[in-house]
Amino acid sequence: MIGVKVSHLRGRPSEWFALSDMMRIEARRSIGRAFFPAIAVLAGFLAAGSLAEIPLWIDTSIVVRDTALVLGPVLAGAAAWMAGRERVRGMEELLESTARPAGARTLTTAAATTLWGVLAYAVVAAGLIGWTYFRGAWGEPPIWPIVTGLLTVLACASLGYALGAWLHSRFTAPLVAVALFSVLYFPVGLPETSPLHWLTPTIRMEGSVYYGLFPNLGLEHSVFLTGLALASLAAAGLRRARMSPVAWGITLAGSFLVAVGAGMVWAGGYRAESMFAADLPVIPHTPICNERRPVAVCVHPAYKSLLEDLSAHANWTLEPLLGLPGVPERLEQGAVGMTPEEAGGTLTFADGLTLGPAASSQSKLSVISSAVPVYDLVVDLNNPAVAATGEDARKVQDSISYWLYNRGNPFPCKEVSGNWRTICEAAERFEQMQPTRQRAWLEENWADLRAGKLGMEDLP
Amino acid sequence: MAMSNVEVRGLTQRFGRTEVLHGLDLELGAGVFGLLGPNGAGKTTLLRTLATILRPSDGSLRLLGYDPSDHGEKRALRRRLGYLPQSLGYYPNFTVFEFVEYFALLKEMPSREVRPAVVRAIERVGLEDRARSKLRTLSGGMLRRVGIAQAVVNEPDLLLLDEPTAGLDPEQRVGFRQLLREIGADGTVVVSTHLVEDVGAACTEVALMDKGRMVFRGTPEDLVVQGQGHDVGDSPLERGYTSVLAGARA
Repeated sequence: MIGVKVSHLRGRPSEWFALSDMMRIEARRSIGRAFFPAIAVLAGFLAAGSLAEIPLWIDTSIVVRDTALVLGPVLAGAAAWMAGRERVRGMEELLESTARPAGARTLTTAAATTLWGVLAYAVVAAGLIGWTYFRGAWGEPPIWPIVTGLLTVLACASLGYALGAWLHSRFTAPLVAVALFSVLYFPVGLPETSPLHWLTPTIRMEGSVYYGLFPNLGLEHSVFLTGLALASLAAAGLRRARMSPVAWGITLAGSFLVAVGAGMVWAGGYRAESMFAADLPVIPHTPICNERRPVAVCVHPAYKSLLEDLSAHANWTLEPLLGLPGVPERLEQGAVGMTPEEAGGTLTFADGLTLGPAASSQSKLSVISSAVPVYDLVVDLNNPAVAATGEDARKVQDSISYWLYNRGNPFPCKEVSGNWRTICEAAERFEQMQPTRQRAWLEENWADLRAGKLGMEDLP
Repeated sequence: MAMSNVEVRGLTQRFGRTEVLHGLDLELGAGVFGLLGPNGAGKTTLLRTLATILRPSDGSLRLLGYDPSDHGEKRALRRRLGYLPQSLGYYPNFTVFEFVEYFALLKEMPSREVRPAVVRAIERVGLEDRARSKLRTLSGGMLRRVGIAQAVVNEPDLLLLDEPTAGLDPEQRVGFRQLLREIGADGTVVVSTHLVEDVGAACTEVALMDKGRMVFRGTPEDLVVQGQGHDVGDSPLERGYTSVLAGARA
């Protein structure tokens, strides 16, 4: 005898509960249940590996979105398989003889398959967001990339289901997965003048804690993907109910949204313009500073975790140069593009993130190094005459720059050859001088050094 | 006069240029109706037509009082229909219980009735100890019983079975015939089979089809009478079967 309790079933609104029961059975036996936990782990692992060392919400949002690059195509393949399941299993005739409309079957099967992909996306997103939150990221995550990623997963599932319903082949599922991965990944490499480039939901974006993400096509992509999901699902339903006015209506409404989304992208005129040229408003924030050392350092609050290391590095690097003309007494992180600017004793450097289809990592070291551009201090970039300096003058500048970077450490001159050996040996000789002599030489020659007026014979 | 559950008038089925059923007339009330005939006689096509899977090329149908050509009536009819196709497909990772429950839901049974009905259907085919087994772990005979369970789960008023006893052992066939008699007491059961002993044991009426036509209709006893004096066949029913076929082809 089968032990089944039936008392709790009494009095339920029949139709919806029947669909929910079908959904329960389908979800429990869905192909997605078998392998989406593994896919979620894989996607999470890949995503965590591409997160920046510094916890930034813009980075996390893009990484969450880009998990759709893995989950979407796999889910599309699974949905294509599920859509062709009735045919593969020889169930069509038996199912055809039942009362419930084919559309209900389509909906529950597609929903049950999609459920696992969406759950995998949600788990990965929650993990990455939680990890970023507990590491003390400043501000809040940009929501549009996360929404876009979710809609990409949903649209992939619907599209896969439609293709599986209409294309009868054992190869449909793997082909759909590969094709969708290509569609999602490779249009990123299309010319930026191509509308397809900007229509791809996993488009490469620039990111800055000052401006947010650019271009922000979240709304456009959401409209496009919602339309695609609706039209695909309805098109799958049309396979069995070709005259259904509901299916036709949803197909047309979805197609309209696809056109609207594409039109919005097109009308937006997004081209190769960078975020720094887009005249975006700066997101309000209060910089945090360390003014306890000779060189004061201020950073955006998103980079708070970097402040102490940056301050120590800046003060160590600039210590031999303090008080010389053009050497900053203050470093401020600012939203000014990629090139550091010096004015009135303050050097401003940019956060300058570039986020790709999988967001590029931003290590502490790279930020610190770019914040104190020693070579740019040694070379007076504001002096037009510097551009015309000869190779010998540049060797002198390189030698002093190298010494500044590497002082206190061994100089591996025997391991290099040619010009670099000459530069290295000059830096090593400078290192061997007394600090007072080093300072005296720098004070005497600093202006000529920066202007490119010194030759190698002028070095001690 | 009792109302007919199945009324078929001038039913013709064509697949391309091939005419499979030729203007068939059939009227059935409650009881178990056996369909006999050689391969290609049109039995499966007739059952698929009665199961509303195929639309008639010509002629009319009225099943349980419904006109299947009307979308709404067809849906209402299908709620009261049970069908076991000749080749039963199945989802291998479903359990027996889930598979039968899934079809109960597809037949739009009221939610509160689904689970008890599934339990009863599985018990009727003797698979209660395998209710939680995945279908891929079952033997061919067990799968056939699962197919029967899904067909009867909604207590159909019209039950259509295509070769239902294929793969069943003798003990299971005895139990299955009892099930047919129970359902046939109030509803109409149409059984297509090659096994004449099933017809003799369970059917109240029998028809013999050949080349898309019904060449005999009567009780099993009538078929036995047809075989008297005919020596081809191992049992009286088989002799009746071969005798009628020989007469039809003469």
